[in-house]
Amino acid sequence: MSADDGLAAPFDRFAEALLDPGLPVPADLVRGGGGDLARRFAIHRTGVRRVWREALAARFPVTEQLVDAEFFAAAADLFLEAFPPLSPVVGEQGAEFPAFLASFPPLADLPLVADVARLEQAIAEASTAAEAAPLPLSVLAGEDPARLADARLGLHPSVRLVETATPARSVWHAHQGETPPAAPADWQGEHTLILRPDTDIRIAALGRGEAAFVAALRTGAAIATAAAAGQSDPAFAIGAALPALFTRGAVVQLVPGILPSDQGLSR
Amino acid sequence: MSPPPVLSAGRPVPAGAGLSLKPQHGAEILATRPPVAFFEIHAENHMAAGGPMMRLVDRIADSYPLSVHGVGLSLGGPTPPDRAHLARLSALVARVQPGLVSEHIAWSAVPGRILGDLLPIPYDETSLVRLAAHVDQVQTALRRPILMENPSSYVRFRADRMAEPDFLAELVARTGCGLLVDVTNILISALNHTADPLALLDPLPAAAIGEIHLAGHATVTEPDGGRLLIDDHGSPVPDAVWALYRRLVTRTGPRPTLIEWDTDVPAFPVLAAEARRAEAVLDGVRDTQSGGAHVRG
Repeated sequence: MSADDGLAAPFDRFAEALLDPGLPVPADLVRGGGGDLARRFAIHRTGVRRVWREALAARFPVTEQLVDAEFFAAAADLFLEAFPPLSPVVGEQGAEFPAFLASFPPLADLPLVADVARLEQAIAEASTAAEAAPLPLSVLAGEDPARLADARLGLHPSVRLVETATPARSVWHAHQGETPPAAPADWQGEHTLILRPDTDIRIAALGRGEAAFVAALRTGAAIATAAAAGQSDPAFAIGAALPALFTRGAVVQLVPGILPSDQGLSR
Repeated sequence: MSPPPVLSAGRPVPAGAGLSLKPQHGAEILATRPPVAFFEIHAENHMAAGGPMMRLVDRIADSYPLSVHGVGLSLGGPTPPDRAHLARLSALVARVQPGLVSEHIAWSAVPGRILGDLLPIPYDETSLVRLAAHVDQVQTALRRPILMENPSSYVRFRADRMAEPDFLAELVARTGCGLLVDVTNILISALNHTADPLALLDPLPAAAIGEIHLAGHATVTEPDGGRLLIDDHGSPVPDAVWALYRRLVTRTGPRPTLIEWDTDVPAFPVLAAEARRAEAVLDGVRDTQSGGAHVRG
């Protein structure tokens, strides 16, 4: 060690050598009993890659099946170079992985892979989101229609919306069973609602208008405003879309619209 | 023999055999309520806002004493424990009220990057001062003593100036922390550096030992014919580890003992059988302690 080495220098050298197998084993390391020090150091070199590869494979299982394990591991290593892990909670690693795959040159002609990864990231987020008790559909029964139009909905913390240009949800579903997956009959884009109102993940296909409705509700729009966002889709019907959100367990709060008599109340 | 150190703040973990909590065993444990002395959770697996893992640990905490085992604070590293991560650990400890909280004598991060492996530190005064300061910070934040676990060693530092047991004893003396003695790590660290496991095990201060870990390891034969032991937690506890364990608890008296099995996790009854084997060793020690052979039914 030179005199100007800081206290952190041995750690930095160790870490650099761990991450770059082309570097020699740091000179301040030894092993008892002789033998090949590099083989010993390789245990740690392997360890710092395996843990993240395994975490990504656990979070993106269908994505891995679409490309195969060897390709996935190579992509995972490159991803970790571009996005070094910042949380010691290994299970939280990977939020940027779908975007990384979307711009990964070897997958340029396979946008499905990144789309499935986005779906799996949304599933992972929904799985660990905060708990909240869904409201039953019956809460709508007593509401004054004028007031309801101005009301806003608090959606369950686990609610995620995923729009894909590929049939990522259909492909994902096809990979859940024991039988070999079949390609979807219609190769077209999809809107998917993902949530975990209780213990289990729910995955629902949404129409284009329904997705626009939910997206607007998530930004805090009043029900009438959100419904207007859905109207560009002729298949959209507020009379079906609103109850469906309740029966799916997606609504946890109904914030009444403010009428003139409510002045002074805060939300 | 010495009594176990007073390290409990939540529901006390008894001096019996416990198991790591695996999510795939959750339903079976809750349905059958097996007679396991405690469950240990990896802190970083239970730091989510909600979801199945959090629900499971809440329900287990209702029925069993818990030990919280952290792997993410990098206490041997160059920088103080991350405040945000320490806050999450504090929140988990407040939530599940574990009888024991433990971390590792290792580092696993540099500024700007989590490395994710438990890496070795030099056994010298500089390391000791830094580690002791970080352990103090954790104990202050959690308002309770923690246990620190001895590492499994593959490489060590030219700068080492202290034997491992002296380093651990000094850490205890300076911080008031306890020790989590991983007997498998003792065996691995000794044999990987052609040393005597008893030289690492016997000098450990009995009064500070609050928990024991037992696990399987892998054995690789190196090109030069030497044996390399790897801490993979992927098989039954080997005989050599049982022998060291029996020796340790004969000296210290019974201690909470965890069977670790994290790779190729078997069905729950296989783990439960390993725990019963540890219980039998502890029963043997209790019989000797109580001064007499009595007939068991």
